[in-house]
Amino acid sequence: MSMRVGDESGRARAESNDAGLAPTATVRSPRGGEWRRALRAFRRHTVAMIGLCFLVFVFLACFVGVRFAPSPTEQSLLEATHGPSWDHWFGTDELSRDELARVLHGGQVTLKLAIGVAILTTVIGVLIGAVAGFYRGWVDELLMRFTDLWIALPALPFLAVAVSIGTVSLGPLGSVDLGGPLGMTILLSLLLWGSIARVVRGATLSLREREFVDAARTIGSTNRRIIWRHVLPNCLGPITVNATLVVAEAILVESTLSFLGFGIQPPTPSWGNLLTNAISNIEDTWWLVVFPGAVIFLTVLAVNFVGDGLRDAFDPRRQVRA
Amino acid sequence: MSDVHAPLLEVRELVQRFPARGGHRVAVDGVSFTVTAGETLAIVGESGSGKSTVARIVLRLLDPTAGRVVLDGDDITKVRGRALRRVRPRLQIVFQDPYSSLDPRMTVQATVSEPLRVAGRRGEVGTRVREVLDLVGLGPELDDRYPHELSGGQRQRVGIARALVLSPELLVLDEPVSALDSSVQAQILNLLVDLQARLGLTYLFISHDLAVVRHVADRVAVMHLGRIVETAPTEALFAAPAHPYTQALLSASPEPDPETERQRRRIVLRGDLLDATQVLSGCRFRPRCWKATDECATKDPALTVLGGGAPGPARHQAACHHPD
Amino acid sequence: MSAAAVFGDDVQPALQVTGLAVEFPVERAVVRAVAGASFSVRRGETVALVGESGSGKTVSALAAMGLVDAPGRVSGDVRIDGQPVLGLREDQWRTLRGRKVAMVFQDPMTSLNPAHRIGRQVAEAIRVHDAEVSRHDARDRGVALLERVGIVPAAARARDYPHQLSGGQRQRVMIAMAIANQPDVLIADEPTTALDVTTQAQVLDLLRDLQHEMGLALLLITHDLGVVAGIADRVVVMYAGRVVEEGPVDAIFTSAAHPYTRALLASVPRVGAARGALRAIAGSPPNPGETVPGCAFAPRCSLAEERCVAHVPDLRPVAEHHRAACVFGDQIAAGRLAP
Repeated sequence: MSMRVGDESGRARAESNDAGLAPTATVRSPRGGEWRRALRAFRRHTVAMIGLCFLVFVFLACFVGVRFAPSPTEQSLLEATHGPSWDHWFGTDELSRDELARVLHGGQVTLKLAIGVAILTTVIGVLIGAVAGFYRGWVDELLMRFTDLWIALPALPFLAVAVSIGTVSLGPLGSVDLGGPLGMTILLSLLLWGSIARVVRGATLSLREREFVDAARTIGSTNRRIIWRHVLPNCLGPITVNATLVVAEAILVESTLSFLGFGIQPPTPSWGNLLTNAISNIEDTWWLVVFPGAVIFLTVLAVNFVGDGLRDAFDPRRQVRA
Repeated sequence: MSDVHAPLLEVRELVQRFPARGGHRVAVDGVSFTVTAGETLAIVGESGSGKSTVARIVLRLLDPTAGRVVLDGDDITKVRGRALRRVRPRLQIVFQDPYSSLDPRMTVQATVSEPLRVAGRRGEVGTRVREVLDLVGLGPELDDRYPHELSGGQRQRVGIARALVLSPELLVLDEPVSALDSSVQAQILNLLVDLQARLGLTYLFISHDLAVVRHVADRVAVMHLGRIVETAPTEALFAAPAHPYTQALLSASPEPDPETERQRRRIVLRGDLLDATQVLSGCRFRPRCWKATDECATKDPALTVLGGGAPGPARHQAACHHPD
Repeated sequence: MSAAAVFGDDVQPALQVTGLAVEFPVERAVVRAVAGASFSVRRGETVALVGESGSGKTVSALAAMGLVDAPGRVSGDVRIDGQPVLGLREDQWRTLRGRKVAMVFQDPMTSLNPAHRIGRQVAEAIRVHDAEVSRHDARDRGVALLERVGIVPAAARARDYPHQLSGGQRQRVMIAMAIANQPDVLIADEPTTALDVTTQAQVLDLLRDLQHEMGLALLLITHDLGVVAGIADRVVVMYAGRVVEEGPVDAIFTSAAHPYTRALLASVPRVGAARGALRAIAGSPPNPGETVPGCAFAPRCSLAEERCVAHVPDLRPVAEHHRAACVFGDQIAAGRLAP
């Protein structure tokens, strides 16, 4: 039997012309909608800000800074398998390609893929989750069992089979090489959309019971409008957090798969397949493992930090409540 | 052209059954009443009485298991889809909790203009929204505020404004002041009474608080476990309550006056509301009633007019074998 | 309750709060939930702590029980049976809570463990403070307590889970757990607000009986003036974190001295009153921690003058045992001035 009070927040209000008194605007606490407040809270989250800075740095390096790096394919046999030096910050590989350049180029591929996966999984997951949570009943059952199927799918065999199919024709949409970045994006999205669907379904289930949804019904809103105007905007917090974490997951999954040879195939570099051959020679060419590995590790860590910051920023308990 | 004497709202033999463990539970068991245009009918009851369920049925948020809801001569019990959406603007609701009834991500302006957008009257948004916000006493400086930036009283005003913006015929008020601070309750009650006089509104006022009801209602219907046990014009009900449950309610309602409280001979009911759900025959109030006789155990009393005569909205009726 | 027993100045109050202040740091500011409140409760007396949201009444009670955690800061003086308790360590508090001072909360569903039977929870409340008692004895005493608070048949119902009970019954269980160790002080925070009015009457009667029987010092926190009129001996009115009036219940209701109290009494709907417009108070109570210059009620007060905004008025006597924090207090109480 205990109830503790340690974190009471103030509430803001502006007094209006109640019963003829002069208006006294005494607005104190955070103004603005959910996003602005969350952004403010996020900025105060030190660890998350560090993560964000690191990510911005990595993105800039991979997409902008890469222009200033040596070419990743230039080979100069004299400099094969050299450790880190002033000319080659991350050293060179056995084909004397500059490792830093390879990491940067690989980063482009991996990061684009990860963001693509986050977007695609969000679209699929939100659609399925919102419909399941709002309509409930057999629709919910059907959609959720369908989701379960995809969550239960074993990643490696699925991808191995998919990649071995090679190029697939999508009729009027052209064709997709399932082993290439676009193909990988689609395949990974299929594997990872389940968690967002579940999160959105849960949020929808609880939101539909809220009185403002009833209010929307009484003014005559259609179900579609209610989902789009009222339910989804109020899910944005969990959706954002989840999407961020999918980015991290996608980087890790892609790296692992490419490392094992199932993912992005060389010569397209990705953070994963940079490691494929390097592992066997780790004693002699440690820099070919350590640098890409560290980059993957730190990036995923940074994404997780940002995810934590977002989660805390959207936490309704920290929201100003009157 | 509606007959000016015909009721605006007529509810006949409403029944609502919900699935529950081991079968179903009956939340509303044969409720009938009418509301004349321009008046306020209060439905009073405690938890489990079914009063909120009745409100939701009238608003067509629920489909009744049986019974009819007739609005100004139109039977709206079974309408669906587009036809239902056409009916909606005629019946609006003000909810109890001013916080959860507003979308936290919509500003005051957005919340009050939403009904107009849904009804396809987007062009009126600028003028009509300002009109109703003025009516409820909210100035333009609050248009862009979010619910969490408003006080409880202000939020409730937004809820009222939203309910009024489509010019409804009937306004259902579900405990509209229960969640407000005492000093703000009076403001909102006065506002509601004032709006009714100015706009000729008709109110269906749901409440558990008899003191509040006394101030706003023309007629009162007392509900207990899904049934109306007494109905009368307000003054008659408070002056001479006939059903033992009404008497117990009045007796238990605390008065802010120590002398009255000391003198009061409070009727303390036996048992709990839960026990009453076990009743299988006869009057449902029997387990808690001090007057219960054998007749009460066998025959379920129906609403009858006190002193005989034809039933009608202005008559005092009670469902009891031994009314006072 | 005789005036001497209630107002006996020689009797040490069971709970004495002096100059209590509670602050919470929020973002870049500090919210002062309580800004210097003083009140006391003697054994055998019921004090109602009345106020609306933001008044600081609940936080005051929590502070008195040591339930305000960091980052909240509590200052002032709180004594339970003469013993100063602010600043005690958690392990020291644990011997006090339940034994000397107990609390009953508004929503029993969140305070009762839904996974344990109620008999067990009551027995546990006993065993926490009495390590000697056997499981068996604790269980028997628990059943006796359930019976005392009106849960019958007690032995059978002791095996129920909280969700099988009604709101009123759950509240009775909470009360049973609170009185299990014969505390001196019982703090009840809106114990009946969530209950139906008929159940409320039953629970209040129970509290009254228990108080007479055990000589409890009962501090009842509520916003419902009707409840106050029915059960309190003395009333302490709080507004915006301060005590604005305190006095015997009759004096408060018939000759209130503070404009806020008067306005509140005039604005509350009454069953016994005729129909008509209520005298509403304009504006809203200030937010917790919002600093209003001078008297916090001044913006809403029809009598407000310059000096009201210049300093915070002290609590000053307006009649015997009756104090109000208003420069016009004595005039208002005497009926010479009407806000």
